[in-house]
Amino acid sequence: MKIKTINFAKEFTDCPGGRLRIYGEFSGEEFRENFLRPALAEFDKVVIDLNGVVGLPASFLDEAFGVLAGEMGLQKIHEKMEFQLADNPIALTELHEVMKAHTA
Amino acid sequence: MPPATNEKQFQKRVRLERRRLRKLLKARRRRRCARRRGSFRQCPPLLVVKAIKPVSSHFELQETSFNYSVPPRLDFANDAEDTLRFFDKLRILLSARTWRAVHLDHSKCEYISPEAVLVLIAELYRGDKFNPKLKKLCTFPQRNEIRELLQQIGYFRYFRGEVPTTQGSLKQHFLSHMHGKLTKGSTVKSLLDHFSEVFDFTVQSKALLYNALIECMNNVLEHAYPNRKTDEFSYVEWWLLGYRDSTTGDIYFCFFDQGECIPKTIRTRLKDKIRSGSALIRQAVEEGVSRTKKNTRGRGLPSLKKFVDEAIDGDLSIVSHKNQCIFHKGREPRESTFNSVLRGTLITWNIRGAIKNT
Repeated sequence: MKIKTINFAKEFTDCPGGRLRIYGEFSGEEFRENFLRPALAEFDKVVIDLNGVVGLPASFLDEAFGVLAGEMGLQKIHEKMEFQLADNPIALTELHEVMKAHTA
Repeated sequence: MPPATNEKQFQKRVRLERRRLRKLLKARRRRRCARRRGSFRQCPPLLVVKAIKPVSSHFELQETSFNYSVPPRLDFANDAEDTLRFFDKLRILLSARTWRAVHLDHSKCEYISPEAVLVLIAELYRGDKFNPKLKKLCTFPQRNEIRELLQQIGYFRYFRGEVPTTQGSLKQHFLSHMHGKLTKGSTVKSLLDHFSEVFDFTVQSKALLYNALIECMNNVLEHAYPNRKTDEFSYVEWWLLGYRDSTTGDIYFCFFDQGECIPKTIRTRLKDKIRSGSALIRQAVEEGVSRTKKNTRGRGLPSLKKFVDEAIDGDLSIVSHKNQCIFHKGREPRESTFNSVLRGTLITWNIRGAIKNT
């Protein structure tokens, strides 16, 4: 089983931006297209380490993870993706809510 | 309209239609002509000056410049009606290309809140963008605290001439205002890092404030300027200010944009049309409402309140168009509606007693 770990703060940014690329740097769309999609296509499992990030805005989460969940389905997303976020339980809850909303 | 039954009726309709088109073309030509000359005075139907003439005793019209006195109190919390009236008239004045110079007289000013300064700066910036040749002059406030406040925020940068001297007696510490066109996480991070020195941010509370500010920036770009291409006096921009008060131990963050107001952007359902603007703001912040009506959207505004809910004591104030809604932690929100209009949305977070060792 091929596993890829993405250290969000080191490989992408510690201060994520908004929803779309046109709104500014480090957007949810940018992360989804440049990191998530290629990793999901190449590896069996992708672990995303979100520790060390200043915050995770709702629009960012919605565009990065929600859209993917809507495309792939919640079951498949849970099989292929794993999230690590120890110090911010609210963001983790919101992340799961966003993905659920896109598959409901 | 029923179809014409005979030739006579048909000819009459054609005549009427031609007359209507002629009028439309004439009006369009007149508008173009006025825009090209950069003057509304030569174009009677668009006489902006005429509309604003009966302003108040604060106001004085001259041939090519206008003098406008800043009222004694500019404060959205306690004198919201007068403050909104002042900004409404200033916006109308600045939206006319007639003027060569604007003179703002601050000499009568006795109190000005930092939020009001942020809005004032944004209005001047917009006036500058709309009419780059407009000279901006000012009379300094007589009170030292106000001069210092304006200087720290970076207000005098927008005027020609010397910066006033101050004595450094202010108990509040301001970061110079920031503004931008895009969602920028690094700007918000630098603001929060500055406050981390004096405020015990938990990882979670810092993340909540970060999220709230990013959502504000995102809303500016996504929703606040739907007519950005057609509205000449509309510039996509946000304004941000943070400050702390060492006597009370309070910290404040203000965010302002000059776009469409929140009620207008979310008022898409029929039932929303009969509800007041402040009730709509309250619903959008408490429950989450999206104009797209998708269940995946509408998470931005609720995130503004989460930071206040997480703090020990604080409030969130939203002024948008004619409406104000204040959310106190642990209390019922307070809604108000005014007669004057703020073109844009001003959001203020206040966390009480937050600073270490006060």
